[in-house]
Amino acid sequence: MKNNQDILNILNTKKVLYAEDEEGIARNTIEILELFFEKVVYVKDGQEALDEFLYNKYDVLILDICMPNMDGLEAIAKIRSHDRQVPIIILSAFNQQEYLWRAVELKIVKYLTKPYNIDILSDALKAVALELVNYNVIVDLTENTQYDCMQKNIIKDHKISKLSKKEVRFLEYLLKRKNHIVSFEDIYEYVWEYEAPSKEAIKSVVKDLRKKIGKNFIKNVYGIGYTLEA
Amino acid sequence: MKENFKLIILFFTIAYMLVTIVFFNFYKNLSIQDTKQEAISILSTMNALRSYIENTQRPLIEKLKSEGKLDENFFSSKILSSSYITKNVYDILLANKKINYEYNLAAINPTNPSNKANAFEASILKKFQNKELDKYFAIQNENGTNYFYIALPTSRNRESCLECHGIPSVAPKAMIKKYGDQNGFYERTGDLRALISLKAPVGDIIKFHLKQFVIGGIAMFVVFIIFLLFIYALYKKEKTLQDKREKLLQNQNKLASMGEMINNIAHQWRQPLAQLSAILINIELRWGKDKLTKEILKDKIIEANEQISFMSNTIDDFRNFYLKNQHDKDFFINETIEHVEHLVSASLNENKITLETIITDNFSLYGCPNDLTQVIINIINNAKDALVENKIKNKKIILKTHQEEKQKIISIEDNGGGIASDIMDKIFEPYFTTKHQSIGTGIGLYMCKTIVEKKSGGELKIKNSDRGALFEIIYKNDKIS
Repeated sequence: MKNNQDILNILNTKKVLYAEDEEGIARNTIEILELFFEKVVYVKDGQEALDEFLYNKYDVLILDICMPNMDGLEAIAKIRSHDRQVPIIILSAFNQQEYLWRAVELKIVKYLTKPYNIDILSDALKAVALELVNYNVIVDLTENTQYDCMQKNIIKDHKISKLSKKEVRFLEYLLKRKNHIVSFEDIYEYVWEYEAPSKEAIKSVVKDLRKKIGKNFIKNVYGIGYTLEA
Repeated sequence: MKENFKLIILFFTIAYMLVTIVFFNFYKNLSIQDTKQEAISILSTMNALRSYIENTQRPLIEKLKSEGKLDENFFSSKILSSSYITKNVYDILLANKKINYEYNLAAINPTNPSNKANAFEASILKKFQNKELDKYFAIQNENGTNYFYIALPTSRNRESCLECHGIPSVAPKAMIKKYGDQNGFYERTGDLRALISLKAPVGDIIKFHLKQFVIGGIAMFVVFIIFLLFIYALYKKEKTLQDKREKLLQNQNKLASMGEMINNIAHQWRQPLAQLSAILINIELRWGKDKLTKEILKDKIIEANEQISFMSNTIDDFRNFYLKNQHDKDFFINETIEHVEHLVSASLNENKITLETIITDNFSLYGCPNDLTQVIINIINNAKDALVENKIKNKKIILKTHQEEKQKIISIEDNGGGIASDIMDKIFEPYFTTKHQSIGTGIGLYMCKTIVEKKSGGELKIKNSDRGALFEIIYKNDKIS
């Protein structure tokens, strides 16, 4: 099941931050990534990558090592001090030991050397996808409800209902943070990005999700946000 | 080594000459000593002869006279005069001798006036008389010729001597008739009447010993030549070894250059290779998802072709630089600098090193531009390794050209903090390297120096600037090969 191409579907509601200084490589890689991700944001060096990551929310990071201003590994080290979770792929021309040792400390999902081929790349993307769903592609939500991360479906009593993109992002964001209270601000930022939604928009997404999953699954924490309790 | 060899030859030649002079002097002295021995022996024989005549022969004649067996007035210097007899015996002796000694008897009061002593002989005689000397020897100079001279006293007057040298009235009538009654009389027993001497030109003595001189000289010359040959053989061996070492170095340099070339191509190709593979993945994925339109495919093919021709150009550049033997030609330094920039840019970029070029004066040179390119690249690579190894921030290499009067200068400066003073004078030695074995062979800078100084007649200098190491290639002529 894990080799199934469908695993890559997990990524198509996700946002990736991609850093690379070589324009020709970047152009083609962006085009490739756009086939898998909902959104690809491209930066040219480590400093920009760090700034962008701290400013916006990303699901996946793909970085080159050798870049001007701040190299990829340095940027990752700084990012890791803020976020231990976000899956990272390194795309590098180097396979020198020094770099590998430094990379090991940074909890990298995959270390790809350029030029890479299609199998290696899709393996890396699958690994990232699985990492994003904690290696659980079918998640049990309640006793009789499951969530299929690949198909973006809720299966309740053998009845399948499709989720919208916003519902998927909202649900997966909360699933990643089970037992944590997720603030309204974080939800706005992650699900709506720059759209600046009203509270009503969130309420409507929550309402739709409760309809598909069950009433008590998503709990409202008054004045703060939402939480999923196991 | 060549200068050294000349010095050794010079030293040996001088030593040989000194030894030869000492040898000939020694031999000369030895032959004179020899001659002296011989002369003393001859003179002693003469003295012995005189003694025999005076002690035996003459008394016998007197006895025969007194017995009436001989006429009382009988006198013949041939049988009675020791001086006359010894002179004639000597003449016989001389016929068998190789050295032409001049025998002389000298007396203050001779019967025969031709035996009269000159002032010099008289002075010696006086010393003999007073027993201050028992023989006299000297090398004398007469009219520019050196003479060997030796004198011995004759025996002192005996009773028998006075028969002829006492009172004239007692002397034999025949003697007086022959020599007169004026000279050679009134002698006393115990007095010294005469000296006998031998004299010969020193040249004659040496000529007599010529054979020994020649043999000795030849022997010494042979020894000298053998020594020279020996030294030459050593020199030759050393030279062959050095030639071999040089060749080995050149080979290693070539290998290192090849390695460098492959490295540089790898650097230059990394980017287009990665781009090509990205293009292919892109096409494959789009095709798989039915998202490959004709337009996209056409664009991707054009893009891929661009990368392929870039790679092809790169490999041509490197091949031209490393493998082609260029002919000497006129070229401007900015062409060389541009070429250098082109060849090293990828590997400098990868190490985040900025290469700044400042062409203050764009001078021209005549020679092989590739040689100069190779030297500059070697120095830049060396700087690059130092900057990377020392983990310098904002790594920078400045490549500058300028002209100062008749000097054309290309300088390469890095900001790596400079070279430690204890290794400063070693960096141009072959096999000297501060790098790890895997990076450096230590030939680079040695080869640079060889190319600049031996092949192109320029100068390669190193010093530390405020920022780091500063290499200067200085040409005083336009012609650099």
